[in-house]
Amino acid sequence: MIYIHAFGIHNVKPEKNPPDLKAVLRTLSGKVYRRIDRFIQLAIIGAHKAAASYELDPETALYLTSGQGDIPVFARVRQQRYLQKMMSKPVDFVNLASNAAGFYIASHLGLNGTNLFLSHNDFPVQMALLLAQSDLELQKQSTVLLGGVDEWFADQELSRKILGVNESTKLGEGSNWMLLKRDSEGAIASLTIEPELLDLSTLKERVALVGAAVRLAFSESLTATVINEIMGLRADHKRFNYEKFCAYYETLPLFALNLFLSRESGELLHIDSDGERYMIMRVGRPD
Amino acid sequence: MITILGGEMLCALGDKPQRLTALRTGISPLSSVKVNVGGKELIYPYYRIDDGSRISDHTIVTGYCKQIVSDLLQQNFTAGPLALDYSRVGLFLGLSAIDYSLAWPIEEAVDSSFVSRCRRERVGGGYYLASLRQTFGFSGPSLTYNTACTSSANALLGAASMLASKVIDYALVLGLELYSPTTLEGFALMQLLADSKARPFAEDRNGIVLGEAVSVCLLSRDDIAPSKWSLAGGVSACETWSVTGTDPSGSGFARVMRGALAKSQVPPEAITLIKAHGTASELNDRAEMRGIEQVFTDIPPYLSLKPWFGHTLGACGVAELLLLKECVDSGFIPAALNSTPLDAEFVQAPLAEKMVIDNGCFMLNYFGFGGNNSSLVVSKAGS
Repeated sequence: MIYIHAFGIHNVKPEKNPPDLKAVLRTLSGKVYRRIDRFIQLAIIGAHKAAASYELDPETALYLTSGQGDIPVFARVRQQRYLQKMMSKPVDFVNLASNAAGFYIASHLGLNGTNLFLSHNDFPVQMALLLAQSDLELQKQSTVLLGGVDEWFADQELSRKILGVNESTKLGEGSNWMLLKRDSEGAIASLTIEPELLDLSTLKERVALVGAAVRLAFSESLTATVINEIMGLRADHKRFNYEKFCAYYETLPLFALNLFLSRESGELLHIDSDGERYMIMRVGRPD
Repeated sequence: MITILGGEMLCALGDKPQRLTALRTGISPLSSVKVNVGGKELIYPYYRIDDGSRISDHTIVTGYCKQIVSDLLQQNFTAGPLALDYSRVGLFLGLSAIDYSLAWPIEEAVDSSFVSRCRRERVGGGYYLASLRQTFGFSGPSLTYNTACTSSANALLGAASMLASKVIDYALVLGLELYSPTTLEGFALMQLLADSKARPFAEDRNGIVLGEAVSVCLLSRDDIAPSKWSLAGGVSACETWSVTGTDPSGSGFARVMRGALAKSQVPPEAITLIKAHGTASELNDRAEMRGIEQVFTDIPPYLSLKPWFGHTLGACGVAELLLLKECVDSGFIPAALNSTPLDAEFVQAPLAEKMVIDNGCFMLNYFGFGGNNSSLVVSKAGS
């Protein structure tokens, strides 16, 4: 078990154009950043909300996870190359060819610890948290600032294609962060990531053992049928509905956990799926 | 203790006997690549896996990954892959940030004449590991690392964490770097590419030579699978001097080297050899040497492996570890290649003569864009 000491939410449901983040970032941080793209702005905003008011140890590790990373810049570079027959700008290459977002967050927050950019096709949040949990429990890290960042991309058809979601899925963007430690002192909540990838019957066995007071949240990848089956296991289980506050992006589970922390007390069991297997995360907030 | 059981790779040097021959003779199969720079087509030296397709179609990339994983499993599990509990195998991949699988749908979208084999297929950062999971039936955790040149070194450290915490019993750690026009153009635009060959630590060095590699390393714990080779420890840390460069003082590099020694509980004098990052860029080479000088009172022998098969960026963490391992298992470390005349600023030259050795404690350095620095310590016990 590890502990959440701070969290930050930046969650948006854009309609036609992505909101301008420059002004948001300037207002939040009081700084003007040049040569950074929107994905990096998004990353800094979320990390700032989680950690700027917290006295961070410079050795704090930074784990940034994302479904797709900096797609708009990648698409722009390809467009320049194939349609406009232009060279891309060196700044675009730099922002693409490195974990630039992590670099700028580290600069912003004065960090010089481990700095990772991670991804996973189905469980980007859970896998990054699993690494954080291992590193904290082994005392390889004392504090991990972990965030999930996904940017809304104006080409919605292409976005849906890349994400493998159906045409009716509304897409959003977010930058949601947690400050994690092994120590419970001063913590907001506990967090447990179950490392096993479960089949449905094992998942049901686990959920059936969960107490009535624990709320259940489900990722977008679970079908209504499966959700109904799980909710039907016990009549006293209640659902935590975060979905009305957001549209789809791949690191949404972090938003779900953080929203729970911002609004509720007690425990939350979050269930995610890759279509075949399931992962469980459990957050416990003292009443 | 984290054990290193074996590895496989595809690189410009060919198969294992060919790799060892190249390392013994100092003959490397340098090829070339055309790069469009500002509308002009320039030719740069380049290390390629083969002379086949120059398009890093994601199906070709996936094919390479499956091939080396299949070979590695056959070599290490004589009862066949089914002898493994696949739910206890973790998959880790390091590649530089531009993802080949994303290139296809995006190219198709920007240019309808572009014929893509990727139509409404889930792609993205985790594509390759998802494909391996599907092919082989692995059902343990997996993670893809994009931290530029430290990607697969950091993947090794992540795998070591999950092994040590007993989340998994085996880890397959892959490093992947293949032909990417965007990468080549980016490096060319930044004037980082050499015009002839990689000459790390040499006075007349003039840049990096890029190379391709697909590599995989099998790790475990000594309670599951003992080995003479172990990953004693390592550290990855960020310096915020510049997004593309390093603090010339070498302080960022020194920090991770010191940290790696401390985590490994290895004193500096116990290091047999340093596998330097040695990109052959002046800033990087000099900062690395300054960092080494801050950590070691007596500088151990050192060399860069990049003159043999290029800078394989995201793959170099695993690929260079495996190349070093193959040398030591064959009883030698080659003399440094292309490193004379020595940079006048250096007090000690890289390894001047072949070292006869079949065990030892080795430091492996990896430094990348985004201020990302990593240093590992691996060792091989004597007989």
